[in-house]
Amino acid sequence: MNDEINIDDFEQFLKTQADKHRMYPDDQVWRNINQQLHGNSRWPALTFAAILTGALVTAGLIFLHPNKTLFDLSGTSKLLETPAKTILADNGAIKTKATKNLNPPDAKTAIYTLNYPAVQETFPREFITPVQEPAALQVLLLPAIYNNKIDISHNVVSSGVNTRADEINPVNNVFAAGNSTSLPPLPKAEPDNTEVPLLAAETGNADITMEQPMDDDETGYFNAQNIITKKPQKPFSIHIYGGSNISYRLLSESIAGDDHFIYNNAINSDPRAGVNNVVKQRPSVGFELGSAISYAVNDRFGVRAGLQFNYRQYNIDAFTGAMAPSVIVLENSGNTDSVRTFSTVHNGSGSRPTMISNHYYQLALPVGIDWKIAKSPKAYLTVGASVQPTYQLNTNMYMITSDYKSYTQQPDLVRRWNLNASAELMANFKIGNIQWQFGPQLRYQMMPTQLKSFSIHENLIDYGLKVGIIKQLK
Amino acid sequence: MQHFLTKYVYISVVVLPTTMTEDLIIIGCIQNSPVAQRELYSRYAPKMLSVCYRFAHNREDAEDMLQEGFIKVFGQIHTFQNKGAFEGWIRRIMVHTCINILKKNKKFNDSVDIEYAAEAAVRESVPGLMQAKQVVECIRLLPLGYRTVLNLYAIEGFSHREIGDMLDIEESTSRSQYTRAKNMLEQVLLKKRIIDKHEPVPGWRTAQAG
Repeated sequence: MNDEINIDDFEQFLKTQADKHRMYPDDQVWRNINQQLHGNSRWPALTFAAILTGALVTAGLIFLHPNKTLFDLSGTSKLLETPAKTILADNGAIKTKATKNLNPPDAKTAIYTLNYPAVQETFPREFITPVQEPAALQVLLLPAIYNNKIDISHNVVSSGVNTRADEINPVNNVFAAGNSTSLPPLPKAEPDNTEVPLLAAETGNADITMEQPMDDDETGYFNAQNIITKKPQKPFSIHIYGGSNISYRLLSESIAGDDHFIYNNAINSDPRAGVNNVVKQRPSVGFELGSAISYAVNDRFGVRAGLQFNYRQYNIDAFTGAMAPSVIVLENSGNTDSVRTFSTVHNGSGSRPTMISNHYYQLALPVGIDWKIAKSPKAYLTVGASVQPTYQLNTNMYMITSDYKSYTQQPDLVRRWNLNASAELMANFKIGNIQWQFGPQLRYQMMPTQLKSFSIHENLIDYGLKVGIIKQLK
Repeated sequence: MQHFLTKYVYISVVVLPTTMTEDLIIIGCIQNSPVAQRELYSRYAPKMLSVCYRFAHNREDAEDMLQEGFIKVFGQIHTFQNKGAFEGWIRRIMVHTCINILKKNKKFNDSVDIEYAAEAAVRESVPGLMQAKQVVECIRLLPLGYRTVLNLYAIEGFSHREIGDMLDIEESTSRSQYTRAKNMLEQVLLKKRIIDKHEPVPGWRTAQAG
């Protein structure tokens, strides 16, 4: 008896002492556990890279080129809407003469005067009389044009040619003699054959010509019949692009209420848990490759269509074990059927933990639009959206059974045709004749992977970086 | 009501992690909340590492057992049905994890001569430790097979039949190994003067008086 008491007491003694004992694990243990549960924390680098890229490009366009016309893609200046007038004096006095050729140009003509405000500010106001202001517009306009180095093939008055606004010498300017009775001699200018960089960046193949040469008998400033035109932009372009994406899986159930427990009683009788709480999945990296033809409807808006290959994947934490039955619930026209299936891949328990991967190989036909939202001399920013009818090439993906117990492959339940929607923010810049673009994109699978009759719905969502090249078609 | 409570409690778990009760932790872990998982780990890891330490060869092995055990806990927490103490549920998972790892390493077939084991235990010195830790360290001095049976029977409360099923040994083998383990441990505790043969252990005194 005493021995039994002693034995029991000895065991109690050991138990008490063992329960008092504490040991504190290394921090690495928790980091390893957290990594197993929530994946490798390095993957958000793609997220931050995408967001940072878009933010830096947007900020660069806005803050490095602070200009009122940054978001003005109309291609015309308000000044050109003012009918220009020439000033021509028989006795050297300055007077105005209406011209018609500097009326607001049509869609085919465009005169960019980005530097105009600077030109106007440097011009001494004392040399401008009210009656001369329309001419002042004209005079100042042409220097601005010349400052942009538009190619002209005739003689013009020299003051504004190839000079910066601050170099305009009022004495040589036609406004200099506001009260004078004679015009100073106006030297002839050398023609300037420099290309127009601004319009070249805009069109890629700018060809600026003067349709009507100036007459030497008239002051070059005031022969306002010069019309600057450019050739129409080629509307069609070809895009070739690729991108890396992170794929997630979103699960939802069509079974509601108490029906939930009929099929889930074995694995989960806890009403607090839904399908997303009983599965463990981790995103993984995929990619896309594609090409498209785009059509520029106008300077701001374009449409595109093409062909694209998608590879998407994600991982699932599971267990392998003995073959065990599970239930798949199918709903058809309000009637519910259950199908029994067998699998060796289990969810939540098993003899050995494992990780299974679902791979998706798809062909898509993206049809989308692009909207130009910001522009600078050498780059611009676009937002784009598309819908992508998608054909699923493989059907061997694992799906969780309705009772959450196992993962099984049911090719007959996989939807072959699906629909994806995407949105993107692209920075575009030109190197040579090729335009490059890159930026973040987001894609969402709008219909479940499995047929509508299956009770658990899976929708994929991807985000990542896209890089592409655009070449105008001749 | 419970769905509403779940949503309300989930917000509370996210906003006020310092006020988590056990129910909040369980709900948060079911919803895969990193905050709740961290809280659960912080609460039970010290005790569970002690459990693992009694089964493992060294601290590193014990931490490996702890890591794998908690991963199983988080993976199976949705199966906890509020029958019994949550700590006991975690503890059972941890013990099974330790046994599985030991079986995988195939250490139970090693046999150690009792006299050699006793001598080896005597040579080990554990100076300046609190009594609880001293007792645990003395338990760890036992051969693996003896130690495992002693841990499972005397401390974890499994029956010899259950121990036989877990370790793939006969029930009689479990009984004999436990008897030897107990005798060996008593010798070690006496030699290290953690207990005195002439003075009853405080727990024993209480039992005898009752």
